Amino acid sequence: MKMPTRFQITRLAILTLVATLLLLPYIYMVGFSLKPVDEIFAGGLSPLPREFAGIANYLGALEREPLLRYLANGVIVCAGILFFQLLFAVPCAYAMAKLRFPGRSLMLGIVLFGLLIPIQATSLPIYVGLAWTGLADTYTALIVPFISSVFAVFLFYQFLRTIPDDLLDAARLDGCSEISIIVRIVLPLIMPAATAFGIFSVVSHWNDLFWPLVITRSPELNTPPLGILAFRSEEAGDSYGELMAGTAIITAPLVIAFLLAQRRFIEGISLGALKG
Amino acid sequence: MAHIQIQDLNKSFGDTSVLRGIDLSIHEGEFLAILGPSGCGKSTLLRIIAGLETHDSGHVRMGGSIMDGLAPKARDVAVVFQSYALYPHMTVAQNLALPLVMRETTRVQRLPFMGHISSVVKRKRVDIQSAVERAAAQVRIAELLDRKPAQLSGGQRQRVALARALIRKPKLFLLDEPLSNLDATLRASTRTEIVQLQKRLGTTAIYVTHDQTEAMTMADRIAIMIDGRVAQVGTAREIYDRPKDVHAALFVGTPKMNLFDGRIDGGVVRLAKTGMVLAHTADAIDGPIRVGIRPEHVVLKTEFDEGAIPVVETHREFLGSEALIHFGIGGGAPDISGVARLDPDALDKLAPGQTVSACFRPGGLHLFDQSGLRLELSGENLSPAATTALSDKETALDERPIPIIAGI
Repeated sequence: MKMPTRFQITRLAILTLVATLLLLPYIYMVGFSLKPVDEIFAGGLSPLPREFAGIANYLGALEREPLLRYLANGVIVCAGILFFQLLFAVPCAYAMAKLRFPGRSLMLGIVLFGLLIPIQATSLPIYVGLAWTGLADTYTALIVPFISSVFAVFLFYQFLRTIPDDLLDAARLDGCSEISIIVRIVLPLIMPAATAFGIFSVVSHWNDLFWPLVITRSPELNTPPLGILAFRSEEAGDSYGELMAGTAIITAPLVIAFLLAQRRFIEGISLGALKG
Repeated sequence: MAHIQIQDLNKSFGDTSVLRGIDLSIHEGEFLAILGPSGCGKSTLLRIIAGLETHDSGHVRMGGSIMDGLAPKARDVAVVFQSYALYPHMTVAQNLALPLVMRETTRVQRLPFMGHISSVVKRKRVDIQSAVERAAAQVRIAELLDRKPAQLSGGQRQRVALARALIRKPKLFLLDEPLSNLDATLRASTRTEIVQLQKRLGTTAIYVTHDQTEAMTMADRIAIMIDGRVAQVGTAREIYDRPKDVHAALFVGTPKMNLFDGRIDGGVVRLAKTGMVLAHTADAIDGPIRVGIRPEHVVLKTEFDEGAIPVVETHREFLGSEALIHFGIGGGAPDISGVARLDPDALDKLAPGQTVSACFRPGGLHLFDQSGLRLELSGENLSPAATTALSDKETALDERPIPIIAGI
């Protein structure tokens, strides 16, 4: 093996330091989730438990709150949101990137403008609307406000522009309708971008506290962050081990998903549709 | 197989007029090349024929029926794109199968599990599979069927693109500069192969290119397109020998045809700048003209016959089978320059910088009027001034001692 150069060593050291700093809270969270309460309060910097209380903490966490139910809620909401986002954003981005029609640039302008508006700004009218239709405090209310994502449209639009027009023309000559082009040509080609967007979307909606807090009241609709909130507001303020275990359970699916899709994710944000 | 007729076709993008009144007729089974510089509208014309672009006015007829407004898939044409446009996520076999799958199966039949349920679908899939194998064999890519386009070389991709075009036996092939991404050797062999394939299938083909060699070697007829118009349609020979206008004359032939400003007065064709006499004509059309002479029709001699034009060599190029001499006319007026094509042996008899005499072979003179159109002065009337002095020998530089007139 070749000896690493001084530059490589320095670079690795800096990256390791920054990564450790960023991961430190997470490491402590996992560490605390394995410790008994008195050890947490005893101080000490080591994240490793002296006395292993992991099983008790995790079982306790699962017993105290229906965490699995919250996880399932998170899956339902995130999957629903992502499904509709892709369903609407891909054809929309395709039309804007590859078809000629009047008002195309105006539409692109609106999309760009839409990127600037945070959910907090529109939440009140959406809340009123949902309350008026009687849909507040349902899964629908958790999903509907996010089904059209301007970010997705913009991301796919950028990606689709790298697909040569010849390819789509060839498909038209081969007998594909515009819908078949999207299904057979565009969708497979934008898979990396769709994966990247999927991760962005799932992470932000899994972790979203604001909107579920606004729109739901029933505890059985709790999404994972609301679940943690519910955990904390329980009377026992000292069960930090269980709290940390709960938090670890709730964040675990995301971490696992990212590790599995890591390569595609990086591909998706750094490449166009066609290599070379 | 179809007879294609294009009638008064016009197209503009915004204020830019791209096609201006194109009239073109392509016979059944013919290989027509559309030759023109980039930006002349040839690709747009191709896209209109394919139905990928709309036109403003005029008609495209195929086998007698009007194609205007028909979707590409309804026209039964196949295009080979310059970029090949292979679907990168599909294997070669899937690329080839797609046109057949889309055309010969219904939406329901295309569902993934249908092959196991319906025997009709199963049979269709087997048919498509064997069609794919036949098409692949025709262009000799049978062993590549499982690869993805990214794993193929340029030449192999090009073959896949050809196979995808011919697999569904279209009425018309449209080829948009399909060889421009290949290296020179491959280009020459693929040229022959495409022509042989087209003749074997008997399918009408339109081939767009900016490469005159491709057009001249492959096509039955060539349509020269300049600036959104068809300047001339004819065989390579016709266009080379009798270019209808000055743009066609300049575009075909390497090196370019020599073009001089000239004038006719009183039946004498002269160079405008020096007044030297080039030819006599009985047709009395006086006025400024342009005079074209192909390089191989320029004859350089070391002896001065009456009527020959003294020229000074400025630069020479040895190309193996031929040699080019760049010259300036009239010593004192170096702003008129031209090029002559010689036998390489003749180079040795000519000292660099030497002044020699130039004349031209009979019939080698092309005259164009001010608007660029060919002037048809009848051949008998147009008698080259210096041909009487020309020897029968092909090599113009003879072996007699050379009287040097002037040097640089």
